[in-house]
Amino acid sequence: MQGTMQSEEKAPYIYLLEDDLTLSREIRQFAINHGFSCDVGHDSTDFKTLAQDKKYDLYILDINIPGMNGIQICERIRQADREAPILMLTAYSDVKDKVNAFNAGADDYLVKPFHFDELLARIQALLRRKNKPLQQGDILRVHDMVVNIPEATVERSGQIILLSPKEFKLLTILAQADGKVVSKSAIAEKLWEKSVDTSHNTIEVYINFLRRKIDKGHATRLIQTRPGFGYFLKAE
Amino acid sequence: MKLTLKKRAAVSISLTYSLIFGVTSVTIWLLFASYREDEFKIRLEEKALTNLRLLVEVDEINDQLLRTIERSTLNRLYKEKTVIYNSTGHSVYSTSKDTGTTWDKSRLFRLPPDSELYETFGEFDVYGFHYQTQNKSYYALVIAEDKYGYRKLRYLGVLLISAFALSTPIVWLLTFAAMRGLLKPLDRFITEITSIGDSNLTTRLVLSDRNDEIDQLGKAFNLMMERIESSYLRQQEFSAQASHELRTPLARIISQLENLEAGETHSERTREYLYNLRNDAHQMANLIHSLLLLAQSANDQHFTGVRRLDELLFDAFEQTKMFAPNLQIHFEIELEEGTDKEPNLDVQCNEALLIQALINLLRNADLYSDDHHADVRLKQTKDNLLSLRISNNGATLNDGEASRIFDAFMRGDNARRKQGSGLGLRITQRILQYHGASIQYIAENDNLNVFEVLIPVSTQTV
Repeated sequence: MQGTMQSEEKAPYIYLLEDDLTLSREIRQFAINHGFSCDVGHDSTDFKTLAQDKKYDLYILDINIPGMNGIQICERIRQADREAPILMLTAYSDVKDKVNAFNAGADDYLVKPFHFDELLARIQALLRRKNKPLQQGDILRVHDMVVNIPEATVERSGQIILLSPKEFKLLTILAQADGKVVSKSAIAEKLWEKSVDTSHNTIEVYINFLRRKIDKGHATRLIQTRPGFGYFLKAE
Repeated sequence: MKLTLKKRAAVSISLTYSLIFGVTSVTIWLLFASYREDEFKIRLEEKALTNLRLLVEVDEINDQLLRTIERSTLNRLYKEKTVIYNSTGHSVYSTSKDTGTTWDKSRLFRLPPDSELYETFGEFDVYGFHYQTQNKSYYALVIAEDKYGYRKLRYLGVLLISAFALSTPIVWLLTFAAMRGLLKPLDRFITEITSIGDSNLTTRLVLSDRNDEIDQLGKAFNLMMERIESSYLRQQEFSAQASHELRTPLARIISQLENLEAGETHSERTREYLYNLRNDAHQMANLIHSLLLLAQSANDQHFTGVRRLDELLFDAFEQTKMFAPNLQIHFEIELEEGTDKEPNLDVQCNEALLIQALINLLRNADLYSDDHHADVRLKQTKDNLLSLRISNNGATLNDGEASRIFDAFMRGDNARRKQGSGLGLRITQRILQYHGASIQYIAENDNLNVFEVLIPVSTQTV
């Protein structure tokens, strides 16, 4: 067991609750190797006596532990701290486990066995989300539409519009262009990573998906086409 | 021709009815024909005896007077001809010169005294009688047509045939309708039982309170389903426990190997051993995961909602890259020919399961491709299905292998020196079947493998 957490320490502090001694030792070692501090508990008693009253930057909880299970611990942490990122670990891949974990307030979920690279990526993503303050450009407005990038939400005339992740990313690309024309090639490059390529026809299909959700039912159309050049956002 | 129980019962009952009705009708007709004959014979007999007695025993009556009496009588028969012959065979009385028949009279004269003959001759009935009195013999011959008797007989025949022709199909239809009503619960059972798959093992037949044989069959079936479901649940519980017990030590092994690889300076050979061990451990983890999916009943795997298939595909691609870091895809959404309307990509699904199926297909495309490149195309068909085609360049399967490609542990000739369990496509097919989707493998040419998935479009919106 590690000592008390020092709030002035720069390294993010992780609390790991895992009943398997070998696995918890290895995860802790991996975390330390990557610049994190890490406290470890093996059951709910450890959590209650040593970690319950402290604040950690991130919690990694195994679901199947002696005493209170990981889901119950997650609920308890969430009651005390609404912001703390919580990553659940389990050896079960049952959908019900995942649903229960998310309902209890978990932010992410990893099934054993996993690649340490994947664990690291998820830890970093959760910490990024927690630590990043709202910046200029996170909230974009075009006419009566508001795009909230950190929260991945879109509103138009006060009504929430549900977009798929790709549609949201496409809208963000257009909104960030600030009224300038974005070519289909530029969209393809930003919308998909290097390992995916597509045709301009498929970009048009995604623009049509977006138009149906953003402009349909509104007198003012926001998504404009400049034939031969690309697309831009402007109220017309 | 195979007949259903309903049709078989209807046909059997109708045939039995037809046979009984037919035999009864023929008997009635024959009895009536016999009755007509008897009745007409009595009339001819009365006619013959009356004429004989009047002519022979009443002195005041001669043949002229008898003819007059005969003409004025009301009970003359149709086409009647009465002739009385003496013992020498000469006609002593005749109602007409022409009998209209060629009946052989010699048979009449061979009759012993006080005996008679009666027979049908063409359309006529013939009655003959040898009358003897005071040592004198007379022969009476009466020929007539029983017009009204035959008309009644024909009418009865028409009635019976009509009744037969009309009642047989009615009986057939009524029997069929009755059988259908009676066996309706059985039809319902068949529909309900046919719809039972591994995703709805909790289904039970709805029984009536009649407690007849069909209900008892339903009860027996429900009892059998309870046993099957219980066995399935036990198997599922075991699979989940076994999976947990196997995953934890594997997680231990992998985590130790990863830290060992990262933490210290090793020789090239040791590093290679560690890398191979870690890969094997991951492959074993994948195999356990696959076996669990195969063993698991879809019983408790419910649809989690409506998702866009393209988004599921990208989620699957992200996860596939953990195992296939070099995989590249060319992605296209195609419009149906003759329309510029964008397709509906929504599918009702169990997200985790469908993503697993897509991961398997993408990993497969990477593993068996020459260039770590897959072509992925989505299209909505006219039948409201989504067609997902995932193709890759690489050695194809022969016809024999292709026909068994979705069998468990099937490894084609192109799988040599490739890591894999032979379970991925079996699991993929099973997951897709659970979603009402189909999958087929097509070797479009010697070096192009295509998997085409057809999955129903959801009518609900995301």
